[in-house]
Amino acid sequence: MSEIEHILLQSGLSPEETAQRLAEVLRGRIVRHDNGEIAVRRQAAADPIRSIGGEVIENEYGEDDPEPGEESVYDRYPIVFEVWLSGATDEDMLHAEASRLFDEIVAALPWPAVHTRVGGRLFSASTPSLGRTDYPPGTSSTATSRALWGPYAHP
Amino acid sequence: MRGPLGDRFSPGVHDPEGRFTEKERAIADWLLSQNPGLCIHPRHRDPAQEGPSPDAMVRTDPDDHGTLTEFKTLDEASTTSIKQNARSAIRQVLPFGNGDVVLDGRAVGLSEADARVGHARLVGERRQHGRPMPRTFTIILGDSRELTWRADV
Repeated sequence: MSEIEHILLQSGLSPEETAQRLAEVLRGRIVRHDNGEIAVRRQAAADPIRSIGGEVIENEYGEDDPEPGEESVYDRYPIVFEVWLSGATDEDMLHAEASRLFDEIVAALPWPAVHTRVGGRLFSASTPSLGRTDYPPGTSSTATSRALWGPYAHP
Repeated sequence: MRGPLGDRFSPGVHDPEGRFTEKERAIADWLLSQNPGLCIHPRHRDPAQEGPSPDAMVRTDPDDHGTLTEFKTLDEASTTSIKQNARSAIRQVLPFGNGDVVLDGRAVGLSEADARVGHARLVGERRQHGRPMPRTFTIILGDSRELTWRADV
C-alpha cells in the first residue's frame, strides 16, 4: 500500500473518540483491527466496490523537539487519520476521495486540520480562526515550505 | 500469502496483470537488478481489504516462505521525508510480524549524507519509543546506489 494521504487533526479527543465523531460526520463505519487500532471507512464515491478511510491514531509522524531544519506541519497535531483506498493503487482516485473527506471534516467539525501526503506534498489546512487555505503545487509539509504552513502549525 | 514456491519459483518480477504502479515496478526492477535471483510478486489488492497491505512478496529461493516488502518513493530529498515515509512503511509491515522496507530516492536525487542522517534519526527515535525497525531497511540513493541496514545486526 504505497499510497497514503494523511489528515492531521487537533480534535482534543482520544483516537477512539475522534474516530467515533469522524464516523458520524462522514457517515462511515468503525473498523477495529486485531492490534487494537480503530479505523473509519466508507464506500468510495468514485468506485463503490472500493472503500476509503483508514486508521485514526496518535500522531507518531511528528516530533516534539525536531532538529533545526527538520520541522514539519505534523509536529503539533496529536491525531493522524491515515487515508487509503482499498483495491489497486490509484493515486488520483485516492487524492480525490481524501480531499472529499477533508472537505466534509472541516465543514462539519471545529477542529484544526491539515491534508497532506506522507513526507511530501501539502494540500490544505484549516482552523476555525485562520480559515481554510489550499496550497499551490509544490508546497511541502516539511521545513522547505515552513513559511506557508507556519500559521497552521500551532493551532 | 507466505509460503515456499518450490518448483514454481522463478527469478524475476512477476506481474502479468500490471498490479504494480509505475513507481512500485521501478523499485521491484531495481531490486532484481541488484539480485537477479529474486522472485518478486505484487500482493493481491482486494477491494474488500480493510487492513494494511504491503506491496510485494519477495523470495530468494524455492524454499523461501517470502518476505513482505513495502515500497515507498520519496517526493523530496530530505531527512524529514525519509523519516515520515519510513514510519508509514513500517506501519504497513509490522501487523504481519515485520518485513522489509525500500525507500526510493532516485527521482529526487537523494544524497548519501541525507540518507545516513535520516536513517540515524529514525533509529534513534524508534529506539527511544521502543518501536522496532523493519527487518531490512534499504534506501536507494539518487545515483542508484543503495544503503541497507539489517535490524538483527
